[in-house]
Amino acid sequence: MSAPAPESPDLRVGGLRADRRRWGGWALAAIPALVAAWLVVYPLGYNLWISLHINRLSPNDGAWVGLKNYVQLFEFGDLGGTLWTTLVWTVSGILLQAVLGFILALALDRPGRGITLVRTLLLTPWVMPGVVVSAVWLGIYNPIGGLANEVLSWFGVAGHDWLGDPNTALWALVLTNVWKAFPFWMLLLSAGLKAIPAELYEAASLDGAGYLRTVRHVVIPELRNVIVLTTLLAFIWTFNYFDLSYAMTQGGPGTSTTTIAFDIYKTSFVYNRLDQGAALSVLSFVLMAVAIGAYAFASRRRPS
Amino acid sequence: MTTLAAPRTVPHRPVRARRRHGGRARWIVLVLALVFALVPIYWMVISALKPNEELGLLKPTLLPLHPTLVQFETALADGSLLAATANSGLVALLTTAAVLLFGSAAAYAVTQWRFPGVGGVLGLTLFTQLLPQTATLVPIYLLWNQLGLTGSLGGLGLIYSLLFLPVGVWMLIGFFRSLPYELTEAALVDGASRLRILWSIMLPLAWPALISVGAYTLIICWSEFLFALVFLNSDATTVTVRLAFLIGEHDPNVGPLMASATIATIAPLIIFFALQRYFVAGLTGGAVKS
Repeated sequence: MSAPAPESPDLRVGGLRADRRRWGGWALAAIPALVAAWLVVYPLGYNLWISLHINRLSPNDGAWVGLKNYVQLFEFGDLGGTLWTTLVWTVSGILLQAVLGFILALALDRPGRGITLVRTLLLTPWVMPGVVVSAVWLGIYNPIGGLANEVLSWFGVAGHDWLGDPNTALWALVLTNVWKAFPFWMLLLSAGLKAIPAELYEAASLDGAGYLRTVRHVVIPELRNVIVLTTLLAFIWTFNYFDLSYAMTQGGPGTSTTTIAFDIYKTSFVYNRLDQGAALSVLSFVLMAVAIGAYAFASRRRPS
Repeated sequence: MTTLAAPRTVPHRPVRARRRHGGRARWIVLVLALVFALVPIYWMVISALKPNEELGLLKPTLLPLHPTLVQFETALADGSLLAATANSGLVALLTTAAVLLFGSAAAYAVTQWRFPGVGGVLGLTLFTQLLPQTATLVPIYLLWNQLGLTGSLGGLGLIYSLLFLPVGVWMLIGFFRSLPYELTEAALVDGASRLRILWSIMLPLAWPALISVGAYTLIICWSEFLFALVFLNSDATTVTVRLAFLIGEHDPNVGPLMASATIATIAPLIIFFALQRYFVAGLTGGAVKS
């Protein structure tokens, strides 16, 4: 995804003015470049700085404490539990979205007016604000008069307070997130499918390959780059997704739906421990960098 | 299942063989998916149309027996939801204008104005997407607090503009790259200034891209929750924060809540359905082509 190098050189009309023009171009491009640089450097650097000092609305604010905030993260609270919840939330969410999105992208891979309409309708959940999605699914999971228990009762399954039970709350949130985010996979994989040349399908069909074999040996390898990119974006997005934990469960019951994103918010702005929130933020930077690095490494080494 | 090449259905494009098998299975999958995707939205809307007595039934009705707008009246009664909706609209419009203005100028400079270091701009804008937004919250909040920018819609619009500009630039570069450089070349020979080329030649050609990025930015601004929650005071906030507040009330009244949720999602859904062609093209273009 690197920028292609410009192929033809700039037109040097007016010789001496060429340089000035170049500076003009830089001036226009510099705004987003500076914004992007600031967005990367400032939060990283300042998070580190805050996390090494006291910043919790106390008289000692600003005093240097070294790594004490990090040590406290491990000593107090439930960092292990939060990380485990984050892992379950991220991995199960991405896997379910990917499978559903891929099946639907395959089903939609055919021209036609009806197909376009269906695709548009299927994208609707993804366009809805996360807080609205939370309200919708709170209504569905509501133990009194909610749709989930009503539908289950048709099949003779007993009702349950899905969000009130620490054992099911996280899965109820994962399902909600899958509902909201599967269209993203569907959309990107659909676009990827359109780019697969027809000859490959023809060749597979001449070789007598059935549908599933074609999908496995032609479609998935051809989609590899799109899948890698989509996984990366979905990972970043899911890992950081905060709206549902906040609006649906406030990270509870107990801490059963407290992901690291929610924990950063709660530590910083509910407990006013900005120093510890910053330490958590640094930790989440590191975790994401490690995960993305490992993923990039693994997807590069696999033979294509 | 056999694999057959479909007849040419799309002229002027490379013919793609489309498998015609599995027509029924395809539609079963799609109908099930439609049910999964749309039933929750249906549930939201019909819950908003039921009177309280009907919402209190232990066995919910699948169609409202006595449809009524009373829940919408309750939701809108004190005016705070409408005020929050207007705030969301204002911030989203300001942010989108800023992103389109600076974004298209930059995308133009990067693609049509050849100078060294272009790749760096693009790489940087992508790199910002790798950072967890929650983890940027604390430092930005502290800075905004020092600058006196918290608690104001302008301050929120400013941070939104900064957060969403890189994505906008990235999407716009994808479009601007497809515009032929010969146009710029010819205009330069004719003595047009760079800004004039941007304004009278490039922007009119790029309007599908502007619509696409504009729609995307409007919708993500409208939907944003975390920064709005932290940066604004509860008396002058955005619609997502207001809705979360309604959810958090100790006895959330399902009817007005569902009516509020419906109101909060009307704007993004209208934008999406009206502009979905551009919207989809903008999102997939950058991801698949590059």
